[in-house]
Amino acid sequence: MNAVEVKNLTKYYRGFTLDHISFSLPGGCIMGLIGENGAGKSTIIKLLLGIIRKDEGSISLFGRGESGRQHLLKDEVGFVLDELKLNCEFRAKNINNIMSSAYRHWNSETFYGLLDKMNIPVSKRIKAMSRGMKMKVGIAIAMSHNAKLLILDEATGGLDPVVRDEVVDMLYEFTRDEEHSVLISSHIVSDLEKLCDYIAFLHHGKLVLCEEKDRLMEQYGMIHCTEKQLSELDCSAVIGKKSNQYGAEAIVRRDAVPKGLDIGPTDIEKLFVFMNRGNHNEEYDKK
Amino acid sequence: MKSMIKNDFFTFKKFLLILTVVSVILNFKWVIDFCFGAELPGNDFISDFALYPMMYLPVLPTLLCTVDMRTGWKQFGAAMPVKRSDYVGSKYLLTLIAGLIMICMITVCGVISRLLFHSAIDAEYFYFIAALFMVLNLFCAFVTPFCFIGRTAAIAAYMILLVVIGSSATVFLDSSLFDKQGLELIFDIRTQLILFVCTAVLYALSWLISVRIYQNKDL
Repeated sequence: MNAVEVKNLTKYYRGFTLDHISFSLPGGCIMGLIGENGAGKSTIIKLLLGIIRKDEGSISLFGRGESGRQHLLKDEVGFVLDELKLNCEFRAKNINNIMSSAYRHWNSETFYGLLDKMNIPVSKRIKAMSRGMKMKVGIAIAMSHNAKLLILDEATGGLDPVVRDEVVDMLYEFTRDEEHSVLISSHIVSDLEKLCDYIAFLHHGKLVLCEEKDRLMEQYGMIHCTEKQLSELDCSAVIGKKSNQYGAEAIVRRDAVPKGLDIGPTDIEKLFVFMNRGNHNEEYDKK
Repeated sequence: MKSMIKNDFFTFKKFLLILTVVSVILNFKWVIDFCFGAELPGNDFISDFALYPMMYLPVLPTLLCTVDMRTGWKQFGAAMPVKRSDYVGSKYLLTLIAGLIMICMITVCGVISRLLFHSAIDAEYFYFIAALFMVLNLFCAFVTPFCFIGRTAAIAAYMILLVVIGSSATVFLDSSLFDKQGLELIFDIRTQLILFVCTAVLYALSWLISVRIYQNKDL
């Protein structure tokens, strides 16, 4: 069963359109949403969480479509937004009090246990916490009500590498249970590369690709060659390229490149950067 | 709904406490004044000062919504397993409860004053208090839907209401309506019932309009 299924999801803003996005996240998997600033990652997450309303399309969580009781499904969804959007005067006991009334399966022991594990002082007000601490509180909230799906929007952004690593470990721990799924958006592609089973790449409000990470690695590769060699390749084979006076490097589709050309492995970060640069280069080439 | 009310209560605990203390002091001042020889005027049912804190009640939902906007609670709350109508409901309930507490304090202070001066605690006093409470809720019913449109809209609505009420009150006080007969109208059980029904209907209508506004809003 798919934890998330999105079909033709569309949201219109002045100057930006999230354009007919369709993808599904199988249960027990982690999907990373990658895209440049303003690509539509947060819009998708806000639509999934019901913070904003869709204009077209459908969203289904755990195989259950939209109904008047959609809010009840959120009981099984933990979320971490880009900031801990709670009153800065609150302490852990206030948060525990509020959340215990909101979530049917809220577990105070788990919540305080996680705070303790992450060295968050219970008596500290939110306003006195660092960004890293706030994010940890957000993660503790998301993980304290037996959620089956975690949705994280830039949860690792602005965190130092040590805290980021802790967060990644916690997400690993969470997905040990095969019923647990995670949808995470981040600029820090290296984190997603470590974590994700699936990668969804967004560009200007459109879903460019949504694939299993391992398949992406199989499908795409990097070549280092001369400009002339690159220009001889089929246009559809080149995903993105970068050239300078010493030569050119490009991300290519392995199946569309003639045999004999040395294709090296690539990583998600390079794929992401080159895909973003791809169009710019084309425009540059036309000039 | 409970989680929303708790959040609003924790957020505005200090504000409500200050409002309550100020109300008590202003009412207490009234009691003290009488103890020091002021006379209990025939038509004065409550201290004028006690009304000032009550004027803040209609803007309470606006203040709550502003804080929610600033902290991001609107988004957080919308992502929780809570209906949007519960978010709206908590604002109405909290205002209603705060209003009830304040009106109870005014009533208690009034009763104490009357006991001190051996005045009769008659039904008229309670009719007056009930009318005051209902008018206060009519204010809230008018202003609250605007706070779900935006803070500016709510403040504008409140200002307009104050100007309208202020000028109407001036006309009313200057006219012949504000005499013994005018007041007796309030003491009539039928007037009270009509006022109660009107308040209840308008309050419910205001609640529904607010839910409708908030339901499809992008947060």
